[in-house]
Amino acid sequence: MRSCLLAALFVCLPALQAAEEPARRIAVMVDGADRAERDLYLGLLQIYRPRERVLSYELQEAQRSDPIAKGRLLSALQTCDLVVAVGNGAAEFAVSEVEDVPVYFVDATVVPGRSLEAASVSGLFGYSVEDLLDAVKVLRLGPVGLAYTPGYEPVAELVRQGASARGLAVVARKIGSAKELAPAVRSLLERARVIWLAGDPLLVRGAGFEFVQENTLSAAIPVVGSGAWDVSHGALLGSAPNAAQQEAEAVRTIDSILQRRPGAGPRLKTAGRGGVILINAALAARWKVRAPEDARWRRVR
Amino acid sequence: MRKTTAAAVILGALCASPAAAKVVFTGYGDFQTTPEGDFRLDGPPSVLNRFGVGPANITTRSSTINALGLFATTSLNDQTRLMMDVTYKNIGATVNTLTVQYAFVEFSDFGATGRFGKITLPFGWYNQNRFYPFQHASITAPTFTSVVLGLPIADIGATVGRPFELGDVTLTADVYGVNGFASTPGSTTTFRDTGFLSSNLSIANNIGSGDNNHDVAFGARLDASHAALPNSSVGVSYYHDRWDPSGHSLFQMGNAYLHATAGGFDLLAEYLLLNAKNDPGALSNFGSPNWRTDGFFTELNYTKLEVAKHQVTPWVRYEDYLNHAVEGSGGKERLTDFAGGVAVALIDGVTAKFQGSDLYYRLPFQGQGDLKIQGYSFALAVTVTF
Repeated sequence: MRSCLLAALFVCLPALQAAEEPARRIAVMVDGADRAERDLYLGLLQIYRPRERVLSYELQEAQRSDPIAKGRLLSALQTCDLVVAVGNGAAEFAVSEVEDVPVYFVDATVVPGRSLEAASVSGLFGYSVEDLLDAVKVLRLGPVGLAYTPGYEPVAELVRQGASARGLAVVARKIGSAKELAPAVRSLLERARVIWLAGDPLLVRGAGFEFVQENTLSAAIPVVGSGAWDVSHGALLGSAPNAAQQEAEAVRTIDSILQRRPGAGPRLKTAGRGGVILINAALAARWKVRAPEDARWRRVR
Repeated sequence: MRKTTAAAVILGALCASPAAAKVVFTGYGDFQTTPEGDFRLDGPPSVLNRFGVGPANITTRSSTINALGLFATTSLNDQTRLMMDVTYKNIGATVNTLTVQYAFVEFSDFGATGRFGKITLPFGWYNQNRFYPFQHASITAPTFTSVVLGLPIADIGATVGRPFELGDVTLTADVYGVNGFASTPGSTTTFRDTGFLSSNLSIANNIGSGDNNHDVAFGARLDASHAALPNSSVGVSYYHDRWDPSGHSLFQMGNAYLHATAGGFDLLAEYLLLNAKNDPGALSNFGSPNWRTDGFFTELNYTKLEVAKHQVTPWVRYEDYLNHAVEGSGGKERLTDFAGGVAVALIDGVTAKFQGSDLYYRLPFQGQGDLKIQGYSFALAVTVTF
């Protein structure tokens, strides 16, 4: 009798648990100061709040710098099935600080390459390789000198494949540390007509970006960056993806992660074709680069 | 059958429980050095002789690991968290103290948050929001509150707080009940033993692991803020305690504060009132067992200065406290301190600090005169968070 009762309990428990599986817990976060990403953040909340258990966070400076506030936030994130980080600030925080919980970033243009190597990290970058390659082709800026860091191999492969399809040559250099930056950039400057920077902070922020800027400007070789920040700080080209497409793609991927469908697509994606190409108006005038006069191009001053 | 039922219940509970909660560890370190401190000690010979000293110039120079703290946080579910801070302090040749600064279970529901355990009291603004070295640009906290009152004021008990939205105004109310301040360690009859220059000058050590009597210390804080003035608020606090073993002698604290931020400036001003009754420890100083403290500190930070891509925060602070008999007779203990300095964010998580302070302290001895300490010091510190 006793053994029958226990056996029945063992058999029935998994079925009972499956039938009463609670809603998945998703944390959706954005940098509180990142106004550009707010619509996407609110859109995702609107989609998932009726379906899942959603925790929403607008990341404040204190949650980065104050260990008490940071610990409180991280302990809440650790209880989630998925952390969705919207934009650069939230993405950088999530991929660097969250452990053992899948992180999916959306619309980020600057993410540390080392953190992209983790299998628990997936994401949709906030720029379109397709749009940027179209721009390089139209402006006849090939061959392309591609600088990327460990972790950005999938993006580098997308650039190579897209360039090949357009008949553009690519010279690529993987930069593993700050000391490798100078020789790699000098090598690319000798062999390429445009320098493409994948979005690691080592390359697109701070001293690394300043070094690239100084050398490319003096050699009159344009830089392909990621987003509006890069273009307004000296890159010739950047990309602003279509917001509706980004949201739709993010929802598809989040659903597949929550349904645990491995192989539903590559772990790291860039935005699809159909966004806006940003061009630095001052540099275009200086180098006599003529961008087409259509809605797909936006001049940044 | 009972064993089988028990086994089934345990099995069911284990299967139904969520995955083991993960503990997140964060922390900080604060390293200080005082390259120059110069103080003048003066007083009537009859008083100084009791301490085995005469009038003297005292020069100090020291380096110390002020504190190393480890915060452990775990979310048990959406509403329940366990939070703890273990801090090593004053590390020298041997570890001096290991303090559980706080350790509580936190539960949130109906918009309110309750905490049970060792809690940092919601008293004033500084105590909960600016106590830790990574929370302030200065190296040391205001002298009177940190040395005499003791910071942070943390005790074992329970607290509940809830914000109430009243249009654009948010009124946050906190109430709590704790063990409370007790008599001076090693004594059952004195509360603040100012007659001897020792650790008993401070009442920080009067909070122990248990209650000194059957009376529960209680208090409340009201904080008001306006949506148009982010990171700014005003508030009042009250604390009521019976400190002696019989539970008859009263100790009360009151506080009013203003915290305002605008245009990169961050201003904090706090008024403090202490009132103790039937304390023979202070009799030889104030001529009465009933004494009170009135005083304030005000601190101004500027947070929007950047030099060579590093955030630089200059600050100034002034404090003035007066301690005397409630009846107004007798001498008056006085502490004033003017301090200023700068904090420089070197890299993410590492801040270097410099501070200069000018201190004046006077402690009366009935019929003998005043003991005085006056001087200045400079200090350097590095605060690291991780």
